[in-house]
Amino acid sequence: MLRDRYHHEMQSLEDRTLDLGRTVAGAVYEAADAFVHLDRERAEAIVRRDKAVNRERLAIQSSVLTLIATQQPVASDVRLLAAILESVAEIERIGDYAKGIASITQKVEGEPFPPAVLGMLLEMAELARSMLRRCLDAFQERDAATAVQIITEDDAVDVLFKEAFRTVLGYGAGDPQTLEAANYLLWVAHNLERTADRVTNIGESVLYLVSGELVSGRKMAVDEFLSSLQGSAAQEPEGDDVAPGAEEA
Amino acid sequence: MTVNIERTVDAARAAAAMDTAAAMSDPAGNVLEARGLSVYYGDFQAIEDVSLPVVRNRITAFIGPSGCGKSTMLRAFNRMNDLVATARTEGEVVFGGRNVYDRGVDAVELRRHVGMVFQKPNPFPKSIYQNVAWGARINGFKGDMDGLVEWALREAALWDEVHDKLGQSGLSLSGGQQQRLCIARAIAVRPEVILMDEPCSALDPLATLRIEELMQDLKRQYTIVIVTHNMQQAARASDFTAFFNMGERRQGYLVEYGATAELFTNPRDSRTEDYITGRFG
Repeated sequence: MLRDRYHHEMQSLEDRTLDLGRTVAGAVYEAADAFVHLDRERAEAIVRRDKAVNRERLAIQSSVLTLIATQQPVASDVRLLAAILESVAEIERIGDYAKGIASITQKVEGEPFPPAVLGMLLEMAELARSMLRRCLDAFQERDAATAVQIITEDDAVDVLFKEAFRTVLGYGAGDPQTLEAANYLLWVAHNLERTADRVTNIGESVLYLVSGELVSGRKMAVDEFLSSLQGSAAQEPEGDDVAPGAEEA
Repeated sequence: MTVNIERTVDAARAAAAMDTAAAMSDPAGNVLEARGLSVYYGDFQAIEDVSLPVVRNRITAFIGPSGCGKSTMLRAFNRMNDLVATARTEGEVVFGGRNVYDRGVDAVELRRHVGMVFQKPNPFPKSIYQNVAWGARINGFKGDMDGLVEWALREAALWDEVHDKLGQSGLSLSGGQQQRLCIARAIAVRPEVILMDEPCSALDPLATLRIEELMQDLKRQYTIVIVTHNMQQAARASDFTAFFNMGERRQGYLVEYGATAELFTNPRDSRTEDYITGRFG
């Protein structure tokens, strides 16, 4: 091939992006698991490792921008670089959600959590991890059909989120002492729900990579659900923070 | 469970695709059209069965590897290939509702409407003024020649640089200025189409960008077809791109034609993809 070094560098950037994504997929589940089992050591390790995720994201984005500026990519090359640029930002953000859950675990002081909700959180984490892993495989395989399938799976995470939200509301409302615990649970659920949303964005990048068409599959289901609860005493975490009082990564 | 994958195809690309569709379906939008065009040099077939439109007031770029027939294709539009003794043409080039290869079409008159700018700037060894006035004069122009020369030089974005030295030889100018002088010379006879055969290949990057800017200005009045080896030039400067390739008998053929924005982000044909991404050969 005529442009071996250029194509080799693009392949390397794709590999690094997918590796980072797989690392972060593991971190999300591990963070939820550490929360459920109140494992502060594992939580601390997750918070620590997030710095490396952030550095790698910037390194990848910087290399992509250099390639765009110097190599004038076209056709599938420009689609790949655009997909990397978009996806690596989503992956880094998912890393922030994992770190956010880990930060919450570090704040917990043995508050009693309803086991049913903990089960739902683990289930959400498992779904989100599976979606992300398969989405990264779809990226690698240029598999648009799987990407579409994964985008649809976000609904299942949303259903669990709503269920967890209702359960926590009932739990928190019953006893003022448990409000803090309810707050933590909602933040963890929020981060897992947002993780799945971010995965759907990566799925959209896969669709662009394969088809050249920019699509938006984001659904408003959760937002609609939350607005239907207007007037409720409890508030779902707003904005894009990852933990109560969290500093932006 | 409802999933609504809402298509939000980028507006520019959609518009470009509509341009293509309009050009393909509306012959009135085409100033030139090749239909089943083949050109031979003796026994050698240089291009095989090419059909493509040239959209009015747009820039169409021909790209492809050396020897794929893109210059032959360009020259077929104003019958420059007639000047090669062994050249023979099959198929049609429609201009003004007529096949330019029909008996009775005057090739010299055709070239007045479909002008040409060549790879190497080729001003005559005469003054800047005479270079521009020449074409108009032999076409019997009897009006205000000073006004025409100034107008053409302004159109070619050269007036400001040469207005105080119109008597100097055209050969005294820089390469980029000489090429703009050739463009002014082509414009002076008020053609509808300007064919450009690698007009920037002998120019430095700044002179190249200046010609590309000029092309964007010129397309409001004229239709431009450009052959270029520089794919980025095609991507930057053209509205439509045609990719030519070479067949087993070394004959050139058209692989893909489409809106430039589409062809360079999402080519339909894998041969186009391989060529423009450098995975060719």
